Amino acid sequence: MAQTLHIEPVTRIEGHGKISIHLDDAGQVTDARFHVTEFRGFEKFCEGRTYPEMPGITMRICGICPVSHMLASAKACDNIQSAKVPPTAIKLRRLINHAQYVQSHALSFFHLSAPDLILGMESDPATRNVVGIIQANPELGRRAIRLRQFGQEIIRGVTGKSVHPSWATPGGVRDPLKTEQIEYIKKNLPEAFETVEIALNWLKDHSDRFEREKATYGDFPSLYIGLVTPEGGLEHYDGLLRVMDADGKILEPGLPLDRYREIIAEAVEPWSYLKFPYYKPYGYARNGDGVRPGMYRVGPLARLNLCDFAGTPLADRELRQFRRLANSPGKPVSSSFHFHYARLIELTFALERIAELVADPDILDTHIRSQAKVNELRGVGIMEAPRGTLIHDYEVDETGILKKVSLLVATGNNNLAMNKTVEQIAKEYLSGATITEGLLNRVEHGIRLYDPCLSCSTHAVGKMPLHVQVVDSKGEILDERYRD
Amino acid sequence: MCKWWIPRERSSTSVIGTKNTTSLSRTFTGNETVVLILGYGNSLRRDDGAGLLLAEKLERLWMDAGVEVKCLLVHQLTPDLAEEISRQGLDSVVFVDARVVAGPPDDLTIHLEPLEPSEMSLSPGHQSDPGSLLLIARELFGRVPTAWLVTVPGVDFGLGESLSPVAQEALDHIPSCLNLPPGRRDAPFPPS
Repeated sequence: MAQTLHIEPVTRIEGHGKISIHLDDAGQVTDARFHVTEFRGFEKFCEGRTYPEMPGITMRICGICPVSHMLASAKACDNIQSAKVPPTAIKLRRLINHAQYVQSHALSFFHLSAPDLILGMESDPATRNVVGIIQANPELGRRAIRLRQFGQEIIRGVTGKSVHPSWATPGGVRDPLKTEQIEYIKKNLPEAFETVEIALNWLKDHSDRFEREKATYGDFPSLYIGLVTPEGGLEHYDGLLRVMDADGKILEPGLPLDRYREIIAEAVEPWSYLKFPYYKPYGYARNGDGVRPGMYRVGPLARLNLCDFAGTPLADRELRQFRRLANSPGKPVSSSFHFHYARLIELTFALERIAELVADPDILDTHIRSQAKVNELRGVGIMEAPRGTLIHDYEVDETGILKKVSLLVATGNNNLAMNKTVEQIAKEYLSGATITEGLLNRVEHGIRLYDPCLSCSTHAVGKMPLHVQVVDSKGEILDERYRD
Repeated sequence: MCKWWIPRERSSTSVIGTKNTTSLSRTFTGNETVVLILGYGNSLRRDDGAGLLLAEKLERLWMDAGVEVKCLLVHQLTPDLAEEISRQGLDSVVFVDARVVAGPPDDLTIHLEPLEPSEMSLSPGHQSDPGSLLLIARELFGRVPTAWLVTVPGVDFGLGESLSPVAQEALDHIPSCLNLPPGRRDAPFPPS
């Protein structure tokens, strides 16, 4: 009898997201679906507004990556104006984008993933959290807090707010940098570097503990998409779109950003409101092996696979070690478990870039904004958000009223890969139709590797218990458990 | 009207206090921030943003009363706020949030309740909760001020920037017990 297992977080927004694992009559896993059942609707919400409002509106989508939305939006608006953004404004935008990487990657690694890694995937859920880390290693706990705080404080200092900074604007930014902000950054950079180095060393020292996870937490062939510099370096703010296949062959060396629709299309499924982007030339359909050739991954793992070099000394040194994790020489690193390592390398990269920027005397220049009106009726802004490629695509009329808004968010770009990862973990760890604590943890960890932003729309009250159901093909509940 | 909850295993005195309780007789010097207001929510999701609006109102109200206040408005609670909460010189932290209600006959007034550190939630997402933050503050920085949760009733969490009549009505009638920060010795207390 075919069965379906549901793993459903319950939040104050109904149907925020759930996981269902589908079994065939023999009890074998055949498919896994990561459902996002909340209708977002931001695109329609924005239509009819004026385009200069967009950086301020879209940054309110998300509490974790508001800077990415703000900057992608500002870049789209720059292109509507055909504005030449002053060099210092671009440097300031890059500065807060790197700061956002620091706070976001720190949250993902230290607070969300480290409890599983350090305390064990099967450890007592009562202590498998950041407090467990604190009790096991208080100094690391304090450092983790301060690292995230460092990123937040840079954003707060530069933009005036740590969340929802209405600071980037079409044509540039509103406020220049102040000397005291540079002093704050310089004073706190050394500890930030130290903390990331501690984490890198820990991960490498304990790598042997995770051989099974490396092989089963999303180790499958896929494409990779992300930004690179025109020279092929690691890029988070601008550049060109590059596509690589599972063998490491470059399918697109550097596509101009406004042509992204030539390579990315979106499919929809009736069971999820999150769209399923895919590599357009390869299509959405499964092949004879049940694989979707158009499936791709974005985010830290993809970016490090795609770039030829990082461009900063410490990150380049780590990148060389990262490349050795590929299953075959010359091929991309294919296990999503290595998102963790990639994230720490990007943290290093972000800190190095921050150090470069605050050492640049031009960073204090006060020419930070160009003024223009509507010169183009379409503007595309593409960024690398911490969790992957983020696309804002606007169409306006001659007066600047938005006629169409299209947002392709990083979590959506990884949608197919997250489903595939859950399926792989379930195949490895599910025994019968019983959902064990260990399976729950592992499935959650598999999703967490991609650091999806499902809390973009709202926040939860209190705890977020998991509701797990095993349901047969007739809808009868065979097994059910809650975890709070 | 304020709604008060007396947590089990704590006496009403230690939680709500009386005008003569030592812990509430601290002299406010005026030279330091003594109350931290932490408003959180999404201002694009109608009533979800009601906590942010109430936090701003309380900040103005308490500053006008001469209280040293620091107000932080955030989209969601994250662990780095623990250090802010445990900062020396802080007497209390007041979390301000929206609260889901179904509408009448549910209580549609602003609620106030004391908070204590609680077990961590195993949230797979990015958000934390007040009790977990207090726990992190205590475990990591060794200090937790008196903590309170103020909630505004909300019924509409859809896309939009305006509040529902339920949330707006509640915001227009801030209970007198919030004329001053909860726990202040000169704040009006509910009948014992």
